[in-house]
Amino acid sequence: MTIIRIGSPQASRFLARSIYLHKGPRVTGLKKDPQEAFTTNTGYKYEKSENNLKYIKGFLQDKYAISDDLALQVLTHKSFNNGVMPYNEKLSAMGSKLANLFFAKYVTEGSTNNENNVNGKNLDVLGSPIAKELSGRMTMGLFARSNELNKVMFWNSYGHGLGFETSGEMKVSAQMMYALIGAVAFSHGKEVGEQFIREKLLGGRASVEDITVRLVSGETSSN
Amino acid sequence: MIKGTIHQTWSRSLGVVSRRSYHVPSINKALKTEYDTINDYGSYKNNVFTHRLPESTAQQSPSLVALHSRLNLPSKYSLSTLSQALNLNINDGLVNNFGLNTLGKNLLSYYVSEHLLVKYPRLPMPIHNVAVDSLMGHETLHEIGKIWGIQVDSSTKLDKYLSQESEFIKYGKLRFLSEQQKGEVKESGVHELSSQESKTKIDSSFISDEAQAYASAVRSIIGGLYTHTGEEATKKFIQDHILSRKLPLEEMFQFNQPTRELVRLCDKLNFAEPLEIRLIAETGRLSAHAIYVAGAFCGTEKLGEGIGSSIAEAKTRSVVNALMSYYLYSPLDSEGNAAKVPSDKDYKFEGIVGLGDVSI
Repeated sequence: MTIIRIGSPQASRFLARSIYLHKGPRVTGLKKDPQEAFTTNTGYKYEKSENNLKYIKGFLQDKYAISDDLALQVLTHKSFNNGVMPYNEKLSAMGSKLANLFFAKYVTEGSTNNENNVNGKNLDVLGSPIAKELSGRMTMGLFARSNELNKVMFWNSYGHGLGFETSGEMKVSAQMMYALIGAVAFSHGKEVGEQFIREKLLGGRASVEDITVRLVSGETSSN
Repeated sequence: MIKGTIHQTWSRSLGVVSRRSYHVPSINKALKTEYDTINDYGSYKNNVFTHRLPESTAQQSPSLVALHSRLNLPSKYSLSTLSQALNLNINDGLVNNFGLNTLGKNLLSYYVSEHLLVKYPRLPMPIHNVAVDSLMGHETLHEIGKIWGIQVDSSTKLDKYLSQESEFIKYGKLRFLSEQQKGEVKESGVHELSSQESKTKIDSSFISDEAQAYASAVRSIIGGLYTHTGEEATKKFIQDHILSRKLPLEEMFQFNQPTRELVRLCDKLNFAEPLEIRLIAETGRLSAHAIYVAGAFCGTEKLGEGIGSSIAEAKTRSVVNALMSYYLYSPLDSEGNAAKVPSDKDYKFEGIVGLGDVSI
């Protein structure tokens, strides 16, 4: 006689249950069909496919390439499917700190005619709106949008149809950008991470600096 | 033109329809900042400040020279910058520490985060944030500032005159109190909260102005080190003074539903086998003081073990032990040393990146 222990793999084979997988709006107590749960509102299925990763891979190119696993993690927000899949929170924590540090150094590195400089660095610029906003969420969100980096993102909103900011897309896009910076820094080191910001975020068309100037200039002219 | 209107107009031109709630930073008018063009960073000047403390004056301050020596700062680090790092006042003409503080904060934030993210990649985010706060929060930096021997300039001009105190002494002290605040009579056991302190009040605790001033000075000293000696020396300084402090991470955890959390974690990690909590051994349940040993298993893999005076306690301890082993994991490199951080020379990615917390 064969004894099967409850909870053992053999038992789960014999005692397999038929579970109803629900599609459509959420109903308390019903398990969602993974096929649907792992698909975004725009129809992108959660997977390491070329279609999903092409935007950020194209942006990073070979010089700043990251692994497919990391790239998928960059694109995945905590809100997607209750955070079951690896998401970008830790990458984002790294990237935002690196971006803040880089831009603080960037605005103070040039020559200055301010006689109150400290060893050639003009620190008076650090409290200015542009210095604060260069690594800000709105700037990063708009940069991601203008470079089509947020075309494929795995996230959930309470209202996908709402505006860029109201739906949370700006915040999620910005977090994805920070995560991208963090992923490059994790994969290649801090120096390359800073080089990446300088070359890709400041060097290309619709650079972070252009976006910030436009964001902030309205404000300064109104003062 | 109203700020929101500009933003909405521009957002629409990008094909975005949004309702404004994002706050674009605004300029601090009290600083009387002037600049040529908005992104000509070298042209920014805060006209509220007239000058920096001359180096020749700073050299005459014994307290400043002593602090410089005590912190073992390099000779390249000028005394005038150190004095600036201790000045939080805005209205005395001397440049204050705002810029140095911002630089120092960014440097500290990066190196502290990098250290924690690489050394403890699986820390849940709330614990990570508490750990960051215990390394570079106001209270910690306040303590560090006191350990460094920074003194507060709390005597009024009259007190200084009567005690014939040299005017240079104050340049080596922490300056954040106004003359009026210095002259206020203090009642023992009574503390009137300032407007800034009131903002930080939670229940009966608050961050004092003094703690904030000390923290600001410590960050500014770090910022000053960067301006004079570069990033590598600053990193070393942060490692020596901040990251070397003991961090009781295991005391920061508190689990409300540990078993559920472990089940969710096993799901997230795609473990093939279900989680089982089994009794491994017992001293005899009819004995006077029975002791049980339980283990949390995933198939044949033991994730954690716990000892307790009841089966429930032993099981809970085994689950908590499994969770702690997971969360406090610290990766090693191929040579068995702690994994390098991205800012290290010859960095090679050998650690792991945290996958994110599980929702309970």
